[in-house]
Amino acid sequence: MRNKKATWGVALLAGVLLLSGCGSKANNNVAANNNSESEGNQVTIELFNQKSEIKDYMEQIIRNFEEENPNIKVNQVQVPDSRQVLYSRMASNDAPDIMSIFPNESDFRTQAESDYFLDLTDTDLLANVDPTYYEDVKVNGKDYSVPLTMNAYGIFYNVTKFNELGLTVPTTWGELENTAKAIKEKGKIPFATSFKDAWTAGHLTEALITNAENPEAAAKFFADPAAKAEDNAGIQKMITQMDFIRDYSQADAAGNGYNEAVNLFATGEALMLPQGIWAVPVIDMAGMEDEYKMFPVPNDSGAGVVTGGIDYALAISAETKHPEEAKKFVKFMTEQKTAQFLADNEKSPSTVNGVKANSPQTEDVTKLLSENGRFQPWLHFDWKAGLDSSWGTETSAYLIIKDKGALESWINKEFGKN
Amino acid sequence: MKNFNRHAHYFFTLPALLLYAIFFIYPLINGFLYSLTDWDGLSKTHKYIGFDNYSELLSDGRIRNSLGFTFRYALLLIVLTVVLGVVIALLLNRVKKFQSFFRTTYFFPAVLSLITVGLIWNQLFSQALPAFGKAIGSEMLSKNLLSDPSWAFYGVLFVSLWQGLAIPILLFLAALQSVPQDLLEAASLDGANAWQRFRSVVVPFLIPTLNMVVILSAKNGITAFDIIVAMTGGGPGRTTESVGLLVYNFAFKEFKFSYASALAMILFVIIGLVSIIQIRSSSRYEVNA
Repeated sequence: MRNKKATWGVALLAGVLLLSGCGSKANNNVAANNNSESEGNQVTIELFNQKSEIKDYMEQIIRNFEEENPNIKVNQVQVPDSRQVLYSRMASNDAPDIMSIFPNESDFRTQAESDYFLDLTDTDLLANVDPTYYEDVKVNGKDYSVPLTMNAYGIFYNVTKFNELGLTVPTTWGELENTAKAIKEKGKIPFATSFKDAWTAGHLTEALITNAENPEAAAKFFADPAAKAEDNAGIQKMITQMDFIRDYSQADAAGNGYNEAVNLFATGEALMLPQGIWAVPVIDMAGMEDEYKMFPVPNDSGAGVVTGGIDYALAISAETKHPEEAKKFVKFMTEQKTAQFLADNEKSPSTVNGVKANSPQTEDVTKLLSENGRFQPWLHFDWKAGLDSSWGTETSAYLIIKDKGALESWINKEFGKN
Repeated sequence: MKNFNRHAHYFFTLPALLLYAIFFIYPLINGFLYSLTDWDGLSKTHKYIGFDNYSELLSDGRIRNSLGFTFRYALLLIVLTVVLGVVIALLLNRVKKFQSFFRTTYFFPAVLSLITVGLIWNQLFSQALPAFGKAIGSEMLSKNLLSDPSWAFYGVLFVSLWQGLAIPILLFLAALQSVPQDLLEAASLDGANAWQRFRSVVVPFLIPTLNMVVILSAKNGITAFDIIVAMTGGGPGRTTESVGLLVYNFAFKEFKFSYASALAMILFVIIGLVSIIQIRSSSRYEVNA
């Protein structure tokens, strides 16, 4: 009988401990929150950053901001697989106060339509931003995001080695083929590519299909349910170009990732690197000593179109407890001195009026962003959410496995061409 | 009160039961409900569409491809885990010198998480092995085997065995020590050779452990996810896209959350069936010691 009582006691105790374990934690959190707010009315807002390359510069910007606004503390959060983390947090009502998002993407449009973001239409947050950049990313006529920088895609080349080998910068696809052949003959690797990181294959092939015929033809192909991949001249040309790039890449392109490709370029073993301008800080960090620049992905006529889009943009959560403080920070990001600091360090073209990024490495490509007919937003902005990442997987699969039929039937299926 | 006391021991299961309900049963029911909707993981609203997701699953080539990979992987994982586990345990059981050194060495991989193991081996495959291959002039070894469609499968299998064998070896070793010496002696007096002794005396004592190892490695094989994320990301192409990874890709990369939930439900049913069949079929051979 005694024993039985003890049994009861232990069982209950275990249950109580378990429950109280959960409870006390919740209480502590509440207490902590109260504390932080009562201390001189300081407010902490969270900035969820999705762009790892920019993290250190953002820390500097945050320090400047906190100096001007001593009662606001900005907490920058930057995690791996940020897109999945952010979307899960949003779905579970835990959205950060401010988040960096990609406002051209269709997932952003879906989320904006679901009222996840604060409507910024009648605020002054966009006053310093060039309207040509935010017109495109309005959702149902409303502003939900503040674009800050642009990205662009092209082919980096090693200027020093090009000069040594007597090579000229190719302007047409035919010239690019000849240049690649000449590099291979001289015992160097023409292209540093990274099919293992599917997104790099996705970007490369999107830039190729945009230029295969022309951007309008490519967009029309993806939108038209009657056009089949196996009969489409643009897709067929893209596939031939993919074959060419694969044949003139390093032997183990299938096993290399983004960083390995950048290293190959930075060490001078490979002379060309098809990548976006975001690779500049990574190339420099990898110890690039030679001079390098960038040319647009060529087409047949010599007027290759640059693909790109809005790179860094901020949105504010509709559920934030501190909308005024969050707006203040976003406004700070659009001030000329902040935008200029970002442009000077991170080197992406700025959307803020009067700010110029000084980046000799990429200027041959970025100057085309504002030239008529030479700029085309990434085609996947018009695709349904998530298709860009499967496009990357499928094109990298083709580059590795060379199953043309599989790529074509995937394109037909996912773009509704049945 | 007396009746009450007799059932007091059930309350010991309460903490575990509560945790199980919160972290397994509630998500399971929720997942099933989501699988009946058209939720994409992005919007705040969704509507119920019945079993449309399930009928779409049946005609999806990627799922067939992924199921094929997963079953092949799980089957080889089970067979090799059992065979290698028993062989290594038998050998370790005979080692007399440096006994604890050998046992620790074989157990060591178990303390590392699969993600860590995967990332370390990933580096070995992409940097160390090609360097070695170039040094000995082997063309096949001078590239990353994980990016070769015909080798990636075996690369992943090898690494999951390297890590996954540790615990089965330990379990088999413990089981081997539970074999009564007098039975073995009696058998040899009756003229049984080594193989006969192993088959008729040792194996029945291994069956309960074998059961557990088969279920554990079947579960590991069918739900393979972390090691694949760390090593191949499902590539090259889609050659190592396990069902677990496919669920993740559908939900978080391609924004078909409800479709992913439906696939996860199928995976749940498969694992359930495999476990039931397994437990039913092998409990017959067990020794009632």
